[in-house]
Amino acid sequence: MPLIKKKICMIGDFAVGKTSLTQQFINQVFSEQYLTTIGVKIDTKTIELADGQACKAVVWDVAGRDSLTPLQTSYLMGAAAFMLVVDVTRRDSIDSMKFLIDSAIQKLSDVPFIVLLNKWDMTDEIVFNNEDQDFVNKNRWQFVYTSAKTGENVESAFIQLMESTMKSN
Amino acid sequence: MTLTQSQTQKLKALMLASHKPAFFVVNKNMELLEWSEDLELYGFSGLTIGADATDIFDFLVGYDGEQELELPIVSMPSGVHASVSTVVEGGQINILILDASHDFEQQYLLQQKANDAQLYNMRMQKLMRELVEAQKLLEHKNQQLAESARLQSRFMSGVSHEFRTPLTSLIGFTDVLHDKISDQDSEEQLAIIKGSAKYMLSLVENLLDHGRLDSSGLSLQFASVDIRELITIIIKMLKPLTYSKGLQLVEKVDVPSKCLMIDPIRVQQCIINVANNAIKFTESGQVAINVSWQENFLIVDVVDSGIGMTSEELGSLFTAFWQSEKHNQPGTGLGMTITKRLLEMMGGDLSIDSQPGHGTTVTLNIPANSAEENNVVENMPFIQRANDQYHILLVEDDEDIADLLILKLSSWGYQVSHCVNGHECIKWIGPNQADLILMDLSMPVLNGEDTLKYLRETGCETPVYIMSAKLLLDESMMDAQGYFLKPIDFEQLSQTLHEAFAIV
Repeated sequence: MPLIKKKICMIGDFAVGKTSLTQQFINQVFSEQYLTTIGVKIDTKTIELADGQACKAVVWDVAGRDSLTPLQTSYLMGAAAFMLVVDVTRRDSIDSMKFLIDSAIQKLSDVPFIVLLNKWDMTDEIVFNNEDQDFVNKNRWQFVYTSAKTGENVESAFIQLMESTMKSN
Repeated sequence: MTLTQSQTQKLKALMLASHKPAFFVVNKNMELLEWSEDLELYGFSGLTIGADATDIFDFLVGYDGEQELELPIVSMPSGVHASVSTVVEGGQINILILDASHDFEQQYLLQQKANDAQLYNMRMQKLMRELVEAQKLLEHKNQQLAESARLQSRFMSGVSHEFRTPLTSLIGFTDVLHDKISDQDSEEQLAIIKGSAKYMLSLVENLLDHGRLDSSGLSLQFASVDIRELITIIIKMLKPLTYSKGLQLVEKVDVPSKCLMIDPIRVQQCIINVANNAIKFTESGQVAINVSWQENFLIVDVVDSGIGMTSEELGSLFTAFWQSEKHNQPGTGLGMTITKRLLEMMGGDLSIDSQPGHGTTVTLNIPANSAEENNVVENMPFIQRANDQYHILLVEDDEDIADLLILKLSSWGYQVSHCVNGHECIKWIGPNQADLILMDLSMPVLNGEDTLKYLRETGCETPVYIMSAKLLLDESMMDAQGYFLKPIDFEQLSQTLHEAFAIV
């Protein structure tokens, strides 16, 4: 039986940790150095789901949205799911959540997604507040607090999303 | 315009060289049909016909082959950045890969700089916000500190007042008792009581001064002062201390101008504070006070042959309440702090030269302009009338102090009447006549300030002298002829009364 492959896109503002999360998931490594992503970098990892089924996650680490680059939706074509990465220490990143989710849904229609509330380890600098949490809850978005640095919840977030893609098939 | 065949070939060659095109073809099931060898440049090799293209080319995962795919920059397995585009034709999908390294490098440089700049900008904004928050917090803390200092000052002032009043009685009655006793033992015991009371008073004074300096409640009162006379008074005050320790106290005054403009009380306080320390830490030898005047500065050197100080001790000397742990000497640890701050208030300064075992020299530099000698208040001529011809109205609510003052004033021959508050004073003044009113400031029913105001408004010109345990006299006291600080110094009171009645 051929291995099931699922395309997962990482989207979010620039420097929120998309590449770091991907590298933590794929290679279990982390670097403090910030290197901007141009276009897309694709990595894969075969994981085992709860029912024991093996599945290949094809992770598209898409360039972040910034002042020069809009969200590049052409890279999203054919994605089975997406992860919206939010930097909980940056107000601008938190405020752009809804816009980015709406943009992705417009391109991908009804695909599962999960919000990664990243940099949760930087406790002294977190600006994500109760109001933001209420907003996420109100929209019934799946979310996970993650740290690309410590690896907290990274693998489980990917598995959770892959499970969702299998259910939505 | 139509290109010639050679031009077309040249352009093709250039494009091939710069974009390194490669392609492959798949069917709708994503099975590999054919490919160009150049795919190896991008990291794809070992290909077989009919293989699942999504197993080889990750960027095809999820692609349905219906729409045309346009991926401007994709990082390929070989590390080369390339663009990927598809052409769907006749049930086959042609996928073209072109080298986009040049585009990647250009975009990367631009993007990295732009993002770094934006991150830096965000960090700066965040720091600015934190700075503003910290500033607000600091302002709030400063307000709390100022309020705390104000309360502390008020507390100190209140405590000092409470201490001064009983001390007035204590010191005053020892004087009264001294006049009545004749045996030497009792005299000595009385002297100890008085000395202790005066020492306690000096501690209270230090605490009060420190509080006032902290709350800016202390002002300087400059006057034309005969500096030799001031030094003589200071020497007289210090003599008993040096005598009891078997030390020599020597002074040398080399001041060309007899009179200088200084605050005599504060200058005296500074010199005594420093000299007291010198005596305290000198077990043998001498303490010398050398006074000179240079370029409008009064220079006072206090030189001792005492134990001296280490550099660590010198560093802590001006810290409030600090006392050297090596020497068990009584005190509040405020003397030197107050001295330094008083000198700074005057525009002067203080320097110290000291070495352990080799004594200490403290130099006070005090701004002091030369003053006109005829402005100096000299001792008034001898009283013109006998004291019993003068009637003093004492307005004082504290029974002990009133008793003491009545006793003292009567012993000097004055006629004394007594009222317990301002209201009684006003009632008394109506039908009666006093040559001088000696009035307490803090009294029940009507206080000294309001009483004085009323008396002046109703045309009463009787000289009024205010008595208070607080130094916080304001402009409303300008209508008074003078004031005495409690505990009353009877020598000063006697002198002032002589002067007052000489003027009357």
